Amino acid sequence: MNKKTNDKIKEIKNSGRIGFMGHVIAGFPDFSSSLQAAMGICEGGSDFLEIQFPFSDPTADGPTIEGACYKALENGFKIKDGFKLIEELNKKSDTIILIMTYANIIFKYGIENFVEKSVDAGASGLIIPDVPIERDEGLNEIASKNRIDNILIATPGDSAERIRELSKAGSGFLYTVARRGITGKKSEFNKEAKEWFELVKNNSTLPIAVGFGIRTKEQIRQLKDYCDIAIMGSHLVNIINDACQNKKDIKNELKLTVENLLN
Amino acid sequence: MKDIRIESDKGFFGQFGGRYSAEILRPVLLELEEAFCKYIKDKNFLNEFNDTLKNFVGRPTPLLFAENATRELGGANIYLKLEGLANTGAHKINNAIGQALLAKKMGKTRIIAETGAGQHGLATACACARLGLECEVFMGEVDIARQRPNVFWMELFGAKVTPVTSGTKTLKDAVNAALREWSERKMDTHYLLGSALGPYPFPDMVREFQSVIGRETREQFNEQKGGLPEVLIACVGGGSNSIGFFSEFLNENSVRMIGAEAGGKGDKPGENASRIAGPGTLGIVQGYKSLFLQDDEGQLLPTHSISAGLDYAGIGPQLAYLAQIGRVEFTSEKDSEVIEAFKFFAKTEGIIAALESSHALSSCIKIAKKIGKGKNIIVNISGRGDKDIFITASAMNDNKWFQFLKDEVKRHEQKNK
Ligand SMILES: Cc1ncc(COP(=O)(O)O)c(C=O)c1O
Repeated sequence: MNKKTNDKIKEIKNSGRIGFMGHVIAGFPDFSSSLQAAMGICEGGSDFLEIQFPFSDPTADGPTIEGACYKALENGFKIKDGFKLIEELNKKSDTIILIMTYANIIFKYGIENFVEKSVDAGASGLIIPDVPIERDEGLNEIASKNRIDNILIATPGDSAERIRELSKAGSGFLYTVARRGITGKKSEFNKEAKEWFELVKNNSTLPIAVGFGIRTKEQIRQLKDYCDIAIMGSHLVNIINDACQNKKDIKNELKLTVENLLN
Repeated sequence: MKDIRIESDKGFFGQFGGRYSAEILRPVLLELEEAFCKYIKDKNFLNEFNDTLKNFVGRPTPLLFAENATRELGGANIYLKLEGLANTGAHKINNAIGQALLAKKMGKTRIIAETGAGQHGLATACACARLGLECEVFMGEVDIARQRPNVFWMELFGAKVTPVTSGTKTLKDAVNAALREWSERKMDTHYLLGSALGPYPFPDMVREFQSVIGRETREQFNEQKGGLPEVLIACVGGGSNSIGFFSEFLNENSVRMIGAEAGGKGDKPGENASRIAGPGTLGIVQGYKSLFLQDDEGQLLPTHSISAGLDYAGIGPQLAYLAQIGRVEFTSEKDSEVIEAFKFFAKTEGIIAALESSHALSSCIKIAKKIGKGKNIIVNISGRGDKDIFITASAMNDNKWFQFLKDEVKRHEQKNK
């Protein structure tokens, strides 16, 4: 496991709290706004930040994130901007940074090259939803060689055996999706969801992060029994969008949002 | 020459294919693989499939010797496989019936599908009406605007047509929308993918259900003329009609195969949809590895074709492989050439080909003379062109048609006053 991530999760466990991971789309709506938003999330006290590199066909994402990706691409996002964003953030914050993107982005760039650039920029992990462990194009080996986490995703429908398999193959933590479907819609932590979280908890050998459809402080509090890190994606993207549309101070808005969620 | 393997090797054709799906789709894809492998060898299932093809789809579709076109072009004998005469007007129905029957065997009650030209959506809606399945079709807004007649028919069949407003609002975005819906629904839903692409087992499954085209063609040609044809030509969107037409002949070394891609308006990025004849490069998108029109950073490029059905940035993995090993050649046909080919075969043979299929006809016109007298070319007319009347009438600047549309609107408004 990447050392920074490892230390961080130890600290979270020791202090008996639940960790938090925010999410921004690199270049949404433009480079400097996305940097401001990311800084706000970090200053608000986020333990981790997932930075999504936009892709033209994000099939695991709902309308909010999909729309944000298109906007970023329209405004000329390039992969090097994503790395630059991470470098800038690392100068100012010690929030742990993970890159989320799709298979084709890293494949076309060259996986080895992409992983090396990610490490150089200061990212601690990668989340690539459409690279299956059965055929990972060498990603796991390259990531491990470069001491960056290859964070795998568990989704409802996975068996106990599959969860064990994923947590063995992956590193960092197991990204557990709260419900079926794509990013965006609010998740209800009903009986079915809780059974799913229990299944993951009982079978994962890695720390657990839960995401998809998390919007409130109450949801984060509820998750504390099941996982180490709560992930908030679309909701933050909506807040970023709103702050930009209404010409608010993006950094401050995001900082306040995260502070409110965590206190 | 070593035999070419028809089925994939665990989902791969050489380096192409695979199952690069998000974890959420893994259970349904595994379930589908298991069911497909079982039923494709099941006598009862195959009997039911073949019966439906015969009595409902209207198979076998004819193989026509295009005598007049042959004479006018002064080269090889031209034969046309008339898939347009199948129920709903295109080859798409073969696959729709096959997968809908399979879905029923799997206990699914609901079908979702993507569509470009609307032909696959139409075929799926038709199959669902016939087999008593609920149906939702995702269709890009741009395609809805240019293929309204098919939307009308789909709704008549009881399907829900959901416009896709994101991205380029065409076929690839409809595929994204269907994949998203599939990951959201419980196990009651089957995604009836319309071309020989996507994650394994789709490329194998779609080819198998379409391979009836090639089998019939071989038999019919042998009956009418004897032996094997020298050349086969088919248009290539995702690749379902072409692979269904070619697969029967892949191991007949004397048979040359040509895939016609959309040359669109020109060679610049965004002006066409030529992946293999154009600058497609290796990528992993929508669950499979193949050649895609993309930029240096792996973003898919917009595409253009006069025919909605060929307007797609990727190509089925088996065709990418067959191109790589040199078994299938690819050409690119411009919109303007396609319209000329369309008109030529209408005048000489009384055939209204779909604009998609007219790409294959355009390629045929170009090479008939070179192939030479006494040789035989078979073109797969994957669909009929009635659905394209709004596009062709516009491309041919038929003002009387547009006056008629205006009058028709007026008549309708007056009636409802
Ligand atoms: C008549 C017709 N031909 C060809 C195609 C292209 O698809 P494929 O390459 O899968 O045959 C379509 C797609 O909509 C079509 O409607």
